[in-house]
Amino acid sequence: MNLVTPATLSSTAASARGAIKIYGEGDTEVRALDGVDVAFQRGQFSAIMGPSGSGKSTLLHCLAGLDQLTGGAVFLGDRNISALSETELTKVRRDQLGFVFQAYNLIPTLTAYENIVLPTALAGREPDHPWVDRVIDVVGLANRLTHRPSELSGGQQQRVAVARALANHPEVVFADEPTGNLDTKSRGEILRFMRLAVDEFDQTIVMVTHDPVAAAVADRVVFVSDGRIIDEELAPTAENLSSRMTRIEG
Amino acid sequence: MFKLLIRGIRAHIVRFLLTGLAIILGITFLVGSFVITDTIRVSFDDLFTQLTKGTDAVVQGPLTAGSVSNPDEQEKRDPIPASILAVVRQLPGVADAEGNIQTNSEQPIALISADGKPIGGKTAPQFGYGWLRNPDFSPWRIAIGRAPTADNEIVIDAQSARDGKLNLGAQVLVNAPPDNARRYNLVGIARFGRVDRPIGATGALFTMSEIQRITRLPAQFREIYVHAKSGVSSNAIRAQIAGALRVSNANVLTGNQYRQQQQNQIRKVLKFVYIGLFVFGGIGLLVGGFIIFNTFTVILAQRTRELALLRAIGAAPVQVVLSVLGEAVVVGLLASALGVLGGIGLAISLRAVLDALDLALPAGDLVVQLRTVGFGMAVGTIVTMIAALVPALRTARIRPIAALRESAVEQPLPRRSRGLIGGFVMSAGIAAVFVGLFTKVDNSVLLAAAGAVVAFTGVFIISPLLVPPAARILGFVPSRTRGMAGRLARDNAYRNPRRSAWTAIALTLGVAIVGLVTIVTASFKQTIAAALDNQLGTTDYFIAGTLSPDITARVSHVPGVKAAMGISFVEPTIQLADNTRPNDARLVLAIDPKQLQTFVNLGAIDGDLANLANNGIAVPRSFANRHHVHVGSQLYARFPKAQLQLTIAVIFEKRVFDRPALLIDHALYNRVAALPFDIFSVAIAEPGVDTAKGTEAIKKELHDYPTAVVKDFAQFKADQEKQIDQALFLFYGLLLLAIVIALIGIVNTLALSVHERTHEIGLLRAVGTSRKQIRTTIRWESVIISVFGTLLGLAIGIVFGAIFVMSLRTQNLVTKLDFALPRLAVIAVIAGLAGVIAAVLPARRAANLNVLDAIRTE
Ligand SMILES: Nc1ncnc2c1ncn2[C@@H]1O[C@H](COP(=O)(O)OP(=O)(O)OP(=O)(O)O)[C@@H](O)[C@H]1O
Ligand SMILES: [Mg+2]
Repeated sequence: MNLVTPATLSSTAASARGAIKIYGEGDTEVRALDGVDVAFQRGQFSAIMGPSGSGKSTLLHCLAGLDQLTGGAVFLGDRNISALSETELTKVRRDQLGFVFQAYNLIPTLTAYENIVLPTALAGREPDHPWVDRVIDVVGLANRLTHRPSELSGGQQQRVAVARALANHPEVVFADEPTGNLDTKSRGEILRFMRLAVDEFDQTIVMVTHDPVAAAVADRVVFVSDGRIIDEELAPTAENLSSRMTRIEG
Repeated sequence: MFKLLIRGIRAHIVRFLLTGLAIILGITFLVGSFVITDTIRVSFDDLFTQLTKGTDAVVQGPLTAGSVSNPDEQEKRDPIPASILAVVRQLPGVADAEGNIQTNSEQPIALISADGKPIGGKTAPQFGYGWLRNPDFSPWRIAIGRAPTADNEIVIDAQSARDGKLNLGAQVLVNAPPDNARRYNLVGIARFGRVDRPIGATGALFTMSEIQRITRLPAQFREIYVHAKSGVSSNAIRAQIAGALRVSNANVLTGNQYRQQQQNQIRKVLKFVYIGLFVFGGIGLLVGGFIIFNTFTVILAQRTRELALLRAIGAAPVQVVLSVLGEAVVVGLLASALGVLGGIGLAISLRAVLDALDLALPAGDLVVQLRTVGFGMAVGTIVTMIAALVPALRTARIRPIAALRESAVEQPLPRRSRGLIGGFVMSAGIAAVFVGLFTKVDNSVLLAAAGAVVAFTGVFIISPLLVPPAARILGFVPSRTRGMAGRLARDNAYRNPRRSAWTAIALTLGVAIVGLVTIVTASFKQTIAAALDNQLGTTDYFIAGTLSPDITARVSHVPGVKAAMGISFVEPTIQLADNTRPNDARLVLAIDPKQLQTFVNLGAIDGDLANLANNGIAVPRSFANRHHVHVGSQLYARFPKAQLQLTIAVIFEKRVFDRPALLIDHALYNRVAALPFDIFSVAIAEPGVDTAKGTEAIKKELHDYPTAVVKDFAQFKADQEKQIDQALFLFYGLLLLAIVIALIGIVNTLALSVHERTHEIGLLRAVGTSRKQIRTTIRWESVIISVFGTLLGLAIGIVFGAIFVMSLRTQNLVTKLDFALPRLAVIAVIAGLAGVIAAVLPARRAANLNVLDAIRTE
C-alpha cells in the first residue's frame, strides 16, 4: 500500500520511501524494515502500532535520524536526511526534533527546568521564554522546576520529557512508548498533553505504542508487521484498535 | 564462587592491569633498590675479600681525639710513626709487613693532564696512594708499564688513563697544596682488582716516600698490613701485634675485621642509593594504594546489582566480601610479580647507567635474593589487599533487594562524621610531624614521615567535603565559556564527590611532594643567594678550588684588583673554660683580620679584630649569649697540629656566610692546620674596572694553578643556583613518574564513569548534543578534577614545605622561606594539561558511543 501521494507531500512533516533496514548478515540477518513507504502529516497526531519485534522502534529511530537505513530514504519535510553527516543529523535532532522515550529520559544532574531547555542550551541559544513558560504551565510542572529527576515521580519525569520535546518548537516530536511505564492516571495526563499540543499548538507528533487506549488519542494509526506497513485507521477508537491488533497478531 | 572470580577478572583484564600499574611501579623500585644494592655490596665484598686475602692483620692509628664517632661520617685516625712498622716486622709470627698512605678529604690532591684538564672527569674525587711492594696487601695491579720507583714517577688507574687518553711517558701535573703543581712521568697504568678503578674515584699511585712528602707525613703511615707466617692464625698474629704495641694505643685488627670495616664503609655509601630508591618505591606504593582503593570503590558500586543478585540467590555476605578480596589478591599477586621482574630490569638498567657515568661496578652476577622476591610479592599483595579491604567490606552491606533497585547503593559517611574523623586523623598526623621535626626524639625522621602519611590520610577522608565548593568555583570557567557542555562538566565533577576527590588523590599526593621539594630547594637557593649578597655583597671575583695560600697574594697584585682575601676552615675540638664542649662551634673559618670587613658585613662588633693576631678568636653574638662568654674569655681548641688557649677578641652580630662559624686569623690557621690550603678566595675590583676583563686578567695570573676556578661573582652565584637545580632534576624526573601513575588512575576512573553513564550520554546525543560537546564535557570534568587535586596537593605541599623549612631554620640550615610561586604555578598548569591528556581516551570513547546502543542500555 502506497500512502505517499503528490497531494500529501507538501503538507508532510516526516516520511520514509522504500525504507529498508537489515540487521546482521547471512543466517542471523533480520529485515527490521522491509520496504516501508509512509508519510506523517503536519499538525497531526499519528500513532504506530504493531506486534513486538515488528519494527516500530526501528522505523521511528530511522525517521528521527537516530539510525541509518540500509536502503531507501527518510525525509524531514522536503529534506532528505538519509544522506546527512552525523554532525548535521545532530543539529537536526537538536533544532528540529523532539524526543520522548519510554524511560530514563532525563539527565540526572540537571533540574527539571534545565532538562526542559537542554536542547536550546546545547545550541547556545536563549529559550523562547513565553513559550517555555506556557508549555510548563500546560504540563503542570511550575512548582517542580528546581527538582532533580530523582526527586520526581515516573509520571512527572515523563511530563518533563514531553515539555522538553515541545520546548524547542520542533517540526516533529517522536515518542517511543512514552506511557509504557506509567499507571493509568499518569498515562491519561501525558496523552492529554500530547493531544493538547497538537490541537492548540499545531504540533506534529509520531508515537509508537502497544496500547490501544493510547493510540486511540491519535488522529491516525498505521499498523506495522514484519517490517511492513500493512494497514491504517483514520478514526481510531480503543475498541476497533484492539480488535485489529488481535487480528494482526493472530 | 571461584569460577565467578576468574571470569570477572578475565572480563576486565585491562582494567585490572591498569589498576595494578601503580603497584607494579612501586614494587619495581623497592625490588630494584634491593637488587642493585645487594649486587654492588656482594661484588665489592667479593672483590675486596679476594684482593686482600693475604692480609692477616692491620694496624691503624688511634682515633683522632675529638673526632666525633658519628657512624655516618668517615672515622678520623691519627697517622702511625714508621717506627711501629719496624717493631711489627721484628715479631716472630710476622712474615711480611708494609705501611701505606692514602690521601683523604683533608689532604686533597688534584691530578691534571698536560692540557690542563682534571684527570678522571670533573666530578670524580681523586686519591693518591703509596705503591705497595707486596701484592698481598693491595688491590692495585699494574696492567701496562711498571710500578713507580722514582719520586717523579706516577701510575694512574686504567679508566682515568683511557678517558684522558694518557699513554706511558705522558706528563701528569699534581697539585697538592700547599705546594704548587709538580710534574710526574706516567710510568704505569694499573687496575683495581678486576675493575679499572675504585668506584667513582680516580686513583694515582706514587712511591711511598713521595706520598709521604705530598701528605706531609714523613716517616709515617696511615695503615700497616701484616702477613703472618704459615701456621700462625690471624687471631694469634693480631694478639701478638697488639701485645707489642700496647703502649702506642694503635688499633690492631685481624684481616677479617679489617675487611668488615671496609665493607661497612661501602655499605654507608650504598645506603644513600638504597634509601633514595626505597623512598620512591614507597611513594609509588602509596599512590598505588589510593588508586586501587578508588578503582575498587567505583567498580563495586557499579556491580552492586550483580552482587545483590548473588545475595538474592543465597550467597552469604562473607562469601561476597571474600570474592572481592579474592580479586584483590589476584591483582596484587599479578602486579607484584610483574613488579619483581621490573625491579630486576631496573637494577640491570641502573647498572648500565652507572657504567655510562663512569661508576663502573665490578662485573658479577645480579644478586636476586629470595628475601627480595618474597618481600616484593608480600608488600605488593598486602598493599593491594589493604586498599581493597574497605570497599570490599562495604559490599557486605549490600542487601538482596538492591538487585531490584535502579540506583547504586552508595552510603557515604555523613558529612559531620567525615569532617570530624578526617580532622582528627589529620591533626594527629600533623602533631606527629611537629614532634618529629621540632623535638629531639628517637627515630624523629621516621616519626615525621609516618605523621605525614597519617596527615595525608586525614586529607583523604576530608577531601570529598571539599569537592562541591571547589567544583563550583573551578566549574565557573567551563560553564561560562563552554555553555551547556561546560555546565554538564561542572555538575558531573561533583555529582559523586567521593569519587572525584579520590580520583584526584593520587595526583594530590604527587603534587604535594613536588611542591614540598620545590619550596625546600627554593628556600635553600634563596638562603645561599641572600648569604652571598649579605656577606659578600662587595665582592667582584670568586676563586674556588683547593688553593695554595699564596694564590690570594698573587691575585691582590693583579692590576685592577683592589683587595683579595683567602678563606679556609678547620674543625677543631673546642672546649670552654668550664670544660664543656659547645655543639654549635664545629666550624672555624680562617680569615684575614685586616681585610675581613672590606668583604664581609659583620654588623655591630665588640672588641677589635686586630687582636685576633694574638691567638684571638671571634665568636657570634648568639654563641656568646648561649655560653655566657664575653670579650676576654678563654677557650681551648685542639687543632690537627696544636692545642691552644685562645682569647675571645671579638663578638660580632651577623653570621658569616650564614653559618654559625667562629673566626681565627689566617696566620694562626697556617700554623695549626695539617695542610694549609684555602677553600676559596674573594677579590674586589678597582672602581670602573670591567669584571669580565678582570676575570681574564686573574685567570692569566693563575695559569699555573690549573685547579683554581676563577669566576666573576655574578656568574658564581648563577652557577650555585644551577647546581641545586641540577640536583633537583633527577628528583623531578622520578616524581613525574608518580604523577603519570596518578594520571593513569584518573583515566581509569573516567573510563569507568563513562561506562556507567552510557545511557545518559546516549540520551544527550539523541536530543542533539554533538560529539564535540560530549568530548568537551568529559575533558572539562577531568580538568576540574585534576586542578582540584593539584590545588589540594599544592596546599598540602605549601603547608608541609613551610613546616619543613621552619624546622631546617631551627637547625640554622636555611634562613629564608621561598614559596617559589612561579614554579608552583607551572606545576598547576602542567597538572591541568595532564587532566586534558587523561581525558583524551575516555572522551573519545564517550563521543563514539553508538546513540541507539547507548539509549538501549540502562
Ligand atoms: N541492534 C539490533 N541488532 C539486531 N537486531 C535488531 C536490533 N535492533 C532491533 N533488531 C531486530 O529488529 C526487529 C525489529 O525491532 P524493533 O525494536 O524495531 O521492534 P519493535 O516493533 O519496536 O518491538 P517492541 O514492541 O518489542 O519494542 C526485531 O526482530 C529485533 O530483534
Ligand atoms: Mg520498540
